[in-house]
Amino acid sequence: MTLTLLVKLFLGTLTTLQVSLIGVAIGTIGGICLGICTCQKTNWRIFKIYISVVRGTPLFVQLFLIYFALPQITGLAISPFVAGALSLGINSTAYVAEIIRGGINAIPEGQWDACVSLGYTATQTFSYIVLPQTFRNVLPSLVNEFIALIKESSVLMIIGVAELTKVSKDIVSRELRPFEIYLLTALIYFVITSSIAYIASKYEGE
Amino acid sequence: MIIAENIAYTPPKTDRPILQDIDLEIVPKAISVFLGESGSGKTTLLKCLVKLINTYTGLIRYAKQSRVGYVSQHYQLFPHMTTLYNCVHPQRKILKRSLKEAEQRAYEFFAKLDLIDLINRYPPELSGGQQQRVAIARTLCMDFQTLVLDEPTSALDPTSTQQVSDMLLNLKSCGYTILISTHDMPFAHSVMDYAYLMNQGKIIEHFPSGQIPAQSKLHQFLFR
Repeated sequence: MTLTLLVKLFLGTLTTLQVSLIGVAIGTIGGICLGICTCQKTNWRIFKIYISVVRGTPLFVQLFLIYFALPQITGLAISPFVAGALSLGINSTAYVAEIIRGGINAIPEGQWDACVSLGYTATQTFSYIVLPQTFRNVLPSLVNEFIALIKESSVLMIIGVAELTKVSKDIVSRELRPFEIYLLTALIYFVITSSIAYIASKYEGE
Repeated sequence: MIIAENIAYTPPKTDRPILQDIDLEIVPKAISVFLGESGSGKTTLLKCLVKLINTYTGLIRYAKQSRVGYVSQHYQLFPHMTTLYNCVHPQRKILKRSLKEAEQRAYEFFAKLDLIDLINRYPPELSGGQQQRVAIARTLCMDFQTLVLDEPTSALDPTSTQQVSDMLLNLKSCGYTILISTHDMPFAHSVMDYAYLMNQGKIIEHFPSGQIPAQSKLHQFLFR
């Protein structure tokens, strides 16, 4: 296997990491906001509809809607990378929101009472008391979601994002060595996802 | 002082009242104990008095600048903070005290309640009695003049119960007004100045501790 191929795979890996990282960032920020808005204490139904729609439609279709349909309506062209990151983020937001919502609802009612009786405002209660405990409780589920997101980023090849799977496919179509290339690709995904799982388990232990 | 007039409370989406016709006047700088069977409305009444339930009808009046602190049955310390920080954090965020000032105040009450050895421990590492005392210390740090404790000894062994009752008597002598709901009769006997008996959401009898008539329901409840 030539150095050029390895460099191409490395660049593909970098793109996968970049697009996933943006997706995770959007998913985390959006998911926290939506999780707060849909928990038992707030229960804003409009956001529950959003979550149902996103969870009830395939990422593939969401990707096409953003990459092909959105420019048709707005008239603004959107690059494959931006469309991909946005799709991953929007999709992840719904799943993270459900994880956060479950975590918030699991905080004992007495913790809320303690905050009210001490005099914390609602914002302080969420920021200092509820969310830190929620994150600790839902960390394994969040890590699962982010690992799934990294793997799902391979779907972005369909709109031409030069991420790891697309780069591998392009190499295979030229070199005709599917076994080595796809095995190496799988290994790279495995190293990325298991590194994240390992770091998270260390943090969880602490 | 707290005065409650004609308090009634029916939870949302139900038609069964939990509190009815409650009139009471809490004597300051004394320990008032609320007794009654499970479901008689003790906890709900205390939650109304500390404004954790706001949808009651009737009127609750508080003496000027009187602030009421609440310690629930399960203590509800914040598990992600050390015991010291449990006491420092609310002071910093709510009373806007400096870190030094908040820590000084916390140390003062930790010393009073014999908790100094526990300052760097996390709540899940503590026994029930220790958590109870930390929860009370946290409430005291917030300058509440009135303490409301819901079932403070429900999960405690006799030694811890004794420690809590000694501590409450000590706090009373320092001028605190204390309200307690409990099922623990020996504990109630050891601390109460005034006793209230509740049944089906009503206060059916109340007497000062030394003047409970032998034929009263309160007496029967206390000595059964």
